[in-house]
Parts: sequence; C-alpha cells; structure tokens
Amino acid sequence: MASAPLLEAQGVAKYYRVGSQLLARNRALLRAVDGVSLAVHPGETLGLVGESGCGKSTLGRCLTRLYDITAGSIRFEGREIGRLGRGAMRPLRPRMQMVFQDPSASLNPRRRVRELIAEPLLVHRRGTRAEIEAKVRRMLELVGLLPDHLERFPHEFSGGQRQRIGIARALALEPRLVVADEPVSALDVSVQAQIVNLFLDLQDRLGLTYIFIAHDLSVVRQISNRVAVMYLGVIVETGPSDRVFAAPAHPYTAALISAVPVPEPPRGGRRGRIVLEGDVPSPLDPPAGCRFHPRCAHATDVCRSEQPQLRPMDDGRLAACHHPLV
Amino acid sequence: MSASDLLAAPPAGWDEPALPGEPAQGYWSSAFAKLRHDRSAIVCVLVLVAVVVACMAAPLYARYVLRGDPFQSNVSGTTMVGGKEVAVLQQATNGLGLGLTPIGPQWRFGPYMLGADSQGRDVAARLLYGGQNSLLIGGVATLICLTLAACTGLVAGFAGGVIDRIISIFLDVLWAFPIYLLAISLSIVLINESLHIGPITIGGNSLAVPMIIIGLVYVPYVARPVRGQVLSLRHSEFILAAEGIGASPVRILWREIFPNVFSTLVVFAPLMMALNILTEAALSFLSIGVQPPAASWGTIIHDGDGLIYTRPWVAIAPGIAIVITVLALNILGDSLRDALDPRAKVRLH
Repeated sequence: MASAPLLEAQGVAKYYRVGSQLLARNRALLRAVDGVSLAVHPGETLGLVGESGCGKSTLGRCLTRLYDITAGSIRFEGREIGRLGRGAMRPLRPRMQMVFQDPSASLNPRRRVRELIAEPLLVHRRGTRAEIEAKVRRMLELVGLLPDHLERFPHEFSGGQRQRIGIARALALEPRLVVADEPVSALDVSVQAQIVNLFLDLQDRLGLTYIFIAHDLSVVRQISNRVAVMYLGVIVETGPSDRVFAAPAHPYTAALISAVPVPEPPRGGRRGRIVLEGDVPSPLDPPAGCRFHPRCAHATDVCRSEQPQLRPMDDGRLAACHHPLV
Repeated sequence: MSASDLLAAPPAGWDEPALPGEPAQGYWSSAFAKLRHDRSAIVCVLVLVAVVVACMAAPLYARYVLRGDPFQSNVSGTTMVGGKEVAVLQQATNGLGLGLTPIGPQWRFGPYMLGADSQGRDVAARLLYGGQNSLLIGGVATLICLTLAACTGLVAGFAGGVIDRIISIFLDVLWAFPIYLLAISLSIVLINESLHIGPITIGGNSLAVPMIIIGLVYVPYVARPVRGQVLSLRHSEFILAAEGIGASPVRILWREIFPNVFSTLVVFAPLMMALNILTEAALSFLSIGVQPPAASWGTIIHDGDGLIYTRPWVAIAPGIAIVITVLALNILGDSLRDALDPRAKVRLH
C-alpha cells in the first residue's frame, strides 16, 4: 500500500440546516457527516459500515461529489475536487461511478435497458452509434444478463437483475473508483451472494477500486480489504478487515460484530453478545465528548468531556477511543 | 466460517427467477392495449372522428346539397318544400305578427334540414363550418396551452429557487383571475386593437385572437400539476444517478424528467380541448370570440338567441354539437388516465 491513494478525504463534513429559516431559535444544524478522513488505494476495497442514519450514504455521496461538502477536502487522483462545481466535475465523472442501493429507484422507469446502459456513453460521447451498441452488449454480458433483455424496461426484472443493470451502467464508462451504496441490502440473501460475487469478479477482471457501503457486516467482511466503522457522522475505527473483525478496538465495533447472526449458535447460550442500551442519539445534538459514551459500557469521565481522535493502535489500525479494547 | 458460508456461490444453474417469455411491452404500447379494450374510449374516438369528418365535409354540403353560400344573407331567397317554392323568410302571422320568421327545420337530408337563421342562412351548413372553427380553435388553443404549461412547469420545478418563485407567482396571478373575466377583457382589447408581435400583426377578427387568449388563460391549470410532478421527480434517485453519470441539467430535464411528465400532458390534452371548446363557445356567444361573417358553434347559438321562441333549433343544434364533442373528449380523457396510470389496477364497472 505504498502507492498514492486514489481518493483521500480530509475532515469532510456535511451539515444540513433544518427547521424554520425565519426564527433563529428554531434553526438547527444536522451534522450528517462530521469530519471524516479516509483514504482508498488503487485496487483495494474499503468497507464503510455503521447502522442506519450514521451518515455513511451521505459520506458516499459527498465523496463522489453528488453532494456539496460543508468543510474538508477531497483529493481524487491527486487532484482537489472538494470545491469543484457541477460543470468542473463532469469530465471527472467517468472515473468515479456510483451504484445505488435501490435499483428500482435509480433506474428511470420510462427507459429501456439499452438506453439506460448507453446513457453514460452518450453523455460523454464515447464512440459512434455502432460502437456504443457493441459496448452496451459487452456490458450486459459482463454483468450476466442476456441480449434479449436490451429492449425491456426496469420493472420487468427481479431485484438482483436490476442491480446488475445498475452495475453495468456504472461500469460502462470504465471507472477507476466505484462507490457502491448498500448495493445488496435491498436484495434477498441468496441474490446478495451473487451480486457480491459479481463485484469481486469484476474487481479481479477490471482492477476496480471500491468503496463498499453496507450495514451488513458479513457482506463487508467478505468483500473488503479494509473497513471503516462509522457512528453518528464520524469514523470510530478503521483498519484491515481481518484484524478489525478478529479483535475490534472500539466498543461500538465490538457490539456491531457481536450482533452478526451465526449459522450455528452455541447450545444453551449467550455467545458474548453485547447489547447496546438506548438508541442512536440525534445528529442534531450529538453527545459531548465521545459520541458513543451514553451507550458504552466502558465509558468514564474523560469520555463524557473529551472527544477522542483517531489514534494508531499497536497493530497500525486507527481507533477513536479513550479505552480501546486491544 | 460463518460469513463465507452465507455468501457461498449458489450451485451452477441456480439463478434468479427467469423472466416470462412474453415480448417486452413498453409503457405506451401497454396503455394502448388497455385503451383498445375500453369500449367507452372506442365509442368516444369514433364519435370524435365522425364530428371532425362531418365538419371537414362542410364545403361538400354547401356545394352539392345546399347549392348556396351559407355566409351570405339570403333574406329574399326561396327553397323547394314538398314541390312548392317557399320563401326562406316568411312574414309572421301569429302572435305579435311582427318581423320575419325563418323557415323551420325540414328534418330530411337537403337544404334547410335544420332550418334557417334570421338572415335566411342554412343552419346545418353554418353548423358544419362553425364546427371547423370551434375544433380548430379548441385544438390550437390546447397545443398553445400544453406547450406553455410544459415549458413553465418543467423549468419552474427543475430550476427551483428564485426562478420557481417568479414563475409560480405569475401562474398564481393568472389563476386568481376568474377565467371568463380575464378572457373577456383580453378579447375586448385584442379585437379592438390588433395584436403586433414583431413583424406579425394579428387583426381583431382573426381566429388567432381567440386561440391565443384561450390558450393562455388555462396555462396555470396544467402548469401547476406539471411543476408539482417535476418537483417530486427532481429528488428521485434516478436523477441523482444521471448527475453521477455527468449528464447536463438540460439533458436531465429532457431525457429523464420529460418522459415521466409526458403522460400527464397526454391525459390533459382531451380534457383541455373540451374546456377550450366550451370557452370558445362562451366567448363567441358574447360576440368577443369568432367575429362575423365567420361562424363557430358559439356564434350560431348567439344567432339563435333571438329566435328561441319561434325557431329554437338554431340554438339547440350547435348546443347539441358542443355537448356531444365535449362529453366525448371528457370520457376519452378519463379513459386515457386509467390506461396511463399503472397504479390504477382496480376499475369500477
């Protein structure tokens, strides 16, 4: 991992103004993403995990600049893109593509598969009519769909097949980075496996770099080299997947991992499941100090007053905790 | 290991459910198939085709059946009734016995089958010629209305912010006027002062005057729902996906949003046309729509106004024509909406 990162984020934040714009006292700031730094290197897969509402999808959309960011910097291929406008981003779009969670919402219901996959090629004027047609057919084959599917509309497909269309569309421009925003969480478990395998296979064949967003840890464990665990808009732990999964440093990571269902639970018992008390606090008013302290079994006074920074552990991974578990 | 057990590749040949073998059916072709099984829609289309064909045949009727000019007054003319020559306008003998009474409906295919008006002109011929103007004005006004509504609705909904505010205020102001009051005031101004648009001058008696006025006044009725639909589409994920591809705003508007709004415009088309024909008739009845000697269904009702006690059919005939046409357009509009709305699965019979 000596190579330069493909994408590097420094202190990225995304705040939303909510409430009445007229009455100052009703105004509030929703901190969806609050100072996230991460790096993705060419060819690797970074898994971004966290429970619903922790800001991982927002972060994904900030990194691909579908959303404007409130603060921080994003470097893609060594170039600062954090402040680029829509027009300036357009030439970069082919190199960073996104796969969305719900393919039935992200594919225009009035357009045929042929048009859907050809659209990115038409937008960027990639080749003649015949070349585009040939490319569309190649993409279809690449994701495991048949040529007779070309004339069909999205509603005629199953969820997994729709996601294949979404992947074909994202890969048509031959991107280097693919940000997949919960690409399998809307699918049946059996179909999830096929799509995850498709992602892995395409990475091998095309040398892709992924940011893979998911709340399902077993999926992330399967696909990622590294993981970043998010809680309430910040990253609480990041490091190589095998090490994070084997011995989590942050109590929140430990709780998440303990919640993954096991195929054959040990007889008669609890298997060290850590049950978190309470709900995720509102990002409108995150707790002072460590954001996880109200739910953490290990919290002490320092946790309540001082926000922990990401610090390297002994084995090189980073965790933001005053009392790391390793 | 648990995770990889769960995610192990399924056995070969095991895939997602295969698609049914039927050919891909598009949104429009499936809507068309539904319409073809809708009996009331078919009847309405046939009625409308019959009305249009009859009106287009007006010159044939005037030339071969009437053998006269329905736009010339024919005060001293005669016609053959039962082998005898009869004056088209007869001195009234009953009642007050004042003035002239035009010949009544003959109820057989020939001259004066629906009688004559107070100037001795054939009502049937004027009904057909008038129908041409009513349908033409209704149609062109619908095109003007839908085009303007689509443009303003799409731009307002998509641009948002200040542009949306400005367009919405304009639409609201237009909507706040009572339609007929607005149309009447515009008509009076435009009929007296001819309209100058650059090098083009539209005279006060041109058919373009009612077309433009009627086309304009109903714009908010269509533009508001279009804007609302665009607003909700703008935040849908496929628009974000199009942005992620790098599509320009114009391309997103035209290729992603417009196809989703188009069905709304299609549903509105017959409904607006019905409304436009009614409005044209109202304006013409008030003498501020189609100007004489040209006719429309509204002007003929106006002509029949003074004859309502002696020769009611002068007013009733164009009234029936309007009712039939407007009813057919409205029912067709409802059928179109049923056919185009994929969620409308339940139908009441």
